[in-house]
Amino acid sequence: MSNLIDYKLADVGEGIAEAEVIEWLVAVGDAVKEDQPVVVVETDKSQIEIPAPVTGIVKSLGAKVGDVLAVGSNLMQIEASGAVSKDMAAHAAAPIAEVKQTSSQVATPARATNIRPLASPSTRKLAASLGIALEAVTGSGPNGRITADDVTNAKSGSGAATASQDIDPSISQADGNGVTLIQLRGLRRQIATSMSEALRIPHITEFKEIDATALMALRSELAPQFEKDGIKFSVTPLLMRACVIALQNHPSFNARFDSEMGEIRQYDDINLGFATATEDGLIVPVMRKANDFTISMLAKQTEQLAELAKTRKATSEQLGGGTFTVTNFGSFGTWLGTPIIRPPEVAIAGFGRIAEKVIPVDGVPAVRMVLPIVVAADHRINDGAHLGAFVSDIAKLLLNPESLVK
Amino acid sequence: MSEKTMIEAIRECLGQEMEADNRVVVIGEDVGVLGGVFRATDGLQARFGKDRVVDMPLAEGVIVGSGIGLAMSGLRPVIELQFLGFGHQAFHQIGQQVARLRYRSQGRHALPLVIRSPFGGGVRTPELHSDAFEAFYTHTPGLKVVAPATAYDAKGLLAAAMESDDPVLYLEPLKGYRLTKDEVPDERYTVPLGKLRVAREGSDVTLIAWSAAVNVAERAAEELSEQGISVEVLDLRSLNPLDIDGISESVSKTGRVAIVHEAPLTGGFGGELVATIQQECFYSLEAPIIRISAPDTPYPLGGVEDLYIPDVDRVVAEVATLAKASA
Amino acid sequence: MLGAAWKSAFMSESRFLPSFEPIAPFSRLTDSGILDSGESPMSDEAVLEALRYMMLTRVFDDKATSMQRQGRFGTFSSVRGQEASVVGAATALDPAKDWIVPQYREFPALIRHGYPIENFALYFMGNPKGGTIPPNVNILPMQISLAAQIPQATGLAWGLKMQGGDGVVITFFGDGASSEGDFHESLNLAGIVKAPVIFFLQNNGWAISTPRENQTAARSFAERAIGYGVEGVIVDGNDLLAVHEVTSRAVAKARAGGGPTLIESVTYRTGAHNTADDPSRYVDQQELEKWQQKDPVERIKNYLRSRGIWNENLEQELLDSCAAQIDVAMDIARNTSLATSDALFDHVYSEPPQRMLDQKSDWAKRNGGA
Repeated sequence: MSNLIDYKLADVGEGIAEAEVIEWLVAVGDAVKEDQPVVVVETDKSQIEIPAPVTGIVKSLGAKVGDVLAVGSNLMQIEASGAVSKDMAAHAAAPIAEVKQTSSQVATPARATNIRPLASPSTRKLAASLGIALEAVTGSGPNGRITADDVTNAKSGSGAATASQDIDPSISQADGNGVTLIQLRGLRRQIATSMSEALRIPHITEFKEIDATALMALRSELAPQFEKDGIKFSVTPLLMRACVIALQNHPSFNARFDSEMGEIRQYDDINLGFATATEDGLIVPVMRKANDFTISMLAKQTEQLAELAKTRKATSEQLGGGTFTVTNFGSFGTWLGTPIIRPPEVAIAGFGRIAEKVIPVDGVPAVRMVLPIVVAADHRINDGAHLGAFVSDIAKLLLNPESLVK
Repeated sequence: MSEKTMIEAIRECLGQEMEADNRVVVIGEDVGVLGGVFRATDGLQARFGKDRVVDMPLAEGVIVGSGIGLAMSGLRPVIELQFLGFGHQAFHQIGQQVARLRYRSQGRHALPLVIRSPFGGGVRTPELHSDAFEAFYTHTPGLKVVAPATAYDAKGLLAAAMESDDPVLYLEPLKGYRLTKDEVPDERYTVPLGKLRVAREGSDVTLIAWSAAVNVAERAAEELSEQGISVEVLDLRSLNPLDIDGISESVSKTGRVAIVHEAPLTGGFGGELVATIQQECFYSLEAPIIRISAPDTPYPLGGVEDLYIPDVDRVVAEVATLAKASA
Repeated sequence: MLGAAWKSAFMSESRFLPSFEPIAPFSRLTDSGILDSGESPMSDEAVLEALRYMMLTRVFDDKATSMQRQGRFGTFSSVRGQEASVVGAATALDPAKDWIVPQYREFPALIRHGYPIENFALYFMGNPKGGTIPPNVNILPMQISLAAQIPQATGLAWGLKMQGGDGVVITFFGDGASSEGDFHESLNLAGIVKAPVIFFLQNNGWAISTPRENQTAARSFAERAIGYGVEGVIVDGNDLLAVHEVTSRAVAKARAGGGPTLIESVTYRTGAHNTADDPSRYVDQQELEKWQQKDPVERIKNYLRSRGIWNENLEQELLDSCAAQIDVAMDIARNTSLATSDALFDHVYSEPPQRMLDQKSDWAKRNGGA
């Protein structure tokens, strides 16, 4: 501890702010004794003598006669001849103590009895306006709190948009009476919610079967190039390309519909989602601006995104914002299906299993590879005629597949 | 165990505690010969003598002030303020002295005293007899404040207050003295300070009250259940210390809160509860927290008293609205 | 006109005449310190002990004032001019069984009773630890709210009596404080319950700048006692022997079950009300000088000189000894660790509420730990 004291002018009168120096009673170099008066000052209350706080030598004076000093400013410096007591060191040395800025908020303790989902009042309002039940949303905030983003992601029906949980096998309980209880959790719960919502859409569905001979031939022709790059080439990229081209001619199917606001948004770009089966359930990764993709890019992107989806590593960017969905249920053997539109999209194209069938060719029965096409559309946005034209276009493209690779 | 009114429970407690500990003395206006204007101390002077149950001169300041002195001499005084409204005459001794002597003396002079005082409306009293002034005292660090609503709690909380080495303001409901009746054990027991009681379980709304308002809350909850609204009624019992955990547990369950108190709205203790609840349970809330209280006016004469303090109809209406408010 | 019977119905005590003539306070010494013809109520040893406390106070007051000017003490009130009043009363007490309930101008009484000087200093340095009263030291903390301690003193005395003890309580306060309701309510109660309490009213002429004449129309403060059924007496507060005698009699009476006494000690505040005050703005210089000539410390030294047991050497020795004692205490106080945020919380409750404990740890975190 240095023995040099910065002796400051104290508040000697209960609330004075400053004092005028009237007379110095000591000079630089003088020896002073503790309590010896060193200076006379005048406040607006009275004139007072200020004494020395320690015994020592005056090193410097901090003001001239006539100066007005603010309380807290330096009167003088004294080199103390003995030890300086604790209270003096704090008073005189006085570096402004750093006030540590700690968060004044007490962290919300996790309460053991958290029966209700946690969400701020504004998030609750948002969820209510979107028709989303908070119990079905998994929260990504602290203590499992549901954020506004969690709600909007749940609304876009992207399924695993947020860090969702796999169905924990431990949740299933076999009760020994032939009944196994499985709680609806995680992805399954989200799918359930989305599906329930989707059913509010009035679906019209058109079926068409086409001769897939040319399509299959094109597939075989292109396959080797991809196999060289280690990519297994199926007809799916060709089917996707057909949808993309057809959508460009029928923009009313490449849209998102906000039913509450009554607004349809038609998009120039096509964000194509494709249904991918995973262990836990159906996930739909989305290829943004698929209209710019070549077949090759479609093939590669599909494979990559499918992999990410299966390993649950897809980001919310990759899982949301779709404008049209393709589902290839033929890949798991289904002939015909009734695909369900993913709100807020307005249509979905499904493709069944390509299989041999007897169809008329030039007036006589022939056995051909037949591709079932099913397209469902939101009847609030498009009518049967529109849908018919759209599906015809897809069919035409697939019947003449060279047009797809141009 | 037998059915007792609140006044009987209080009287029984005082008698038993005075029996158990010679250091307990009772002082106040009219507490001796008369046995208290509400008979809370009836029979005690005959049993324990004039030295232990003292009729004091009409001077609240010295009643509390000398009570402090008695406590410092080693006794355990139970001081009666005839009505909480007149506590203002002794307020400096309570706020500046009772609450602070332990701190001022760095623990040397603990004050194990209890100040008992009734308040509350619905009994057509003259001016200042019913005023609910608890907020003045909950804002006094160093002083504990409790308010039982049942006869059972009246006995147990008073015993706990008398046992505590901290000074406790013990508030009694004027209306409840005789109207409140429940099963009270005959032996000595305590109810812990700082713990609320769930008076009625429910799932839709948490309704918080203390003292006489608890009865109003319970009756309102019964009516609301007929409307299909499940109300959980919390009897705070203790304002300081406050059972924050108990409140949070209920609010986390229901997400909707109404607070009912007789005191005027602004600056009332309900405000403290609102602040605490929004801090602790913000993310559980479905709707704003409401307070059902007297308006910001002085306690009126008996003729319009019923318009002033919250009644069952008003609580039912406001809680029903709260229950239906969308998130 | 009032008849004789009517007049006598008013007052029966001979000292208090209905004519409102001024009363001469009881005294034993002349202004220059010569004892009257009676025996001294204090032995030489007792007077020397008393003088020591009076000098200790002088030295401490000077030191404290200096500390305040340095910004190391908060606002401080000196005892200057009232040393005989306080010490004369204090020396009538038995620290082992009697209690002092102070205002804030009774340093020597508290020290004699066992309150450490360093604690007193710490209190004025603004450290809550200064309020610590050691066990077996029978004092209450200093009281800033004037007169609020008087009901407490009454209750304390009453409680001691109730428990069969023979300890008495003395409570100090000033002419100003005696205008507060607490004073009147306390005297009233003390009379009813015959509490063994001495109400020691130091009439030092001033309540800050309010002179005694503006404090009451009553001829004396002591005669208020009659209104409460209590005995009252006026004493020359600058006469150490007289104060001691009057107080001793009151103590003996109280101990024997005779109840309370109101003592009005007529003295003068020759210093400022406190370190924030400037008395030159309202005190008449001539009046001040008149009282300074009746300085109680000089007066008792004169008494000792008249008995041949005082001289310059002894004076210097005493001064040095007091200065040394004060220095030791100041050293301890000044080198006590500064209070941390815990000082805001400790000792507020016997059983603190959880919320307060949470605040205590929040504060500790924010302010760098206990």
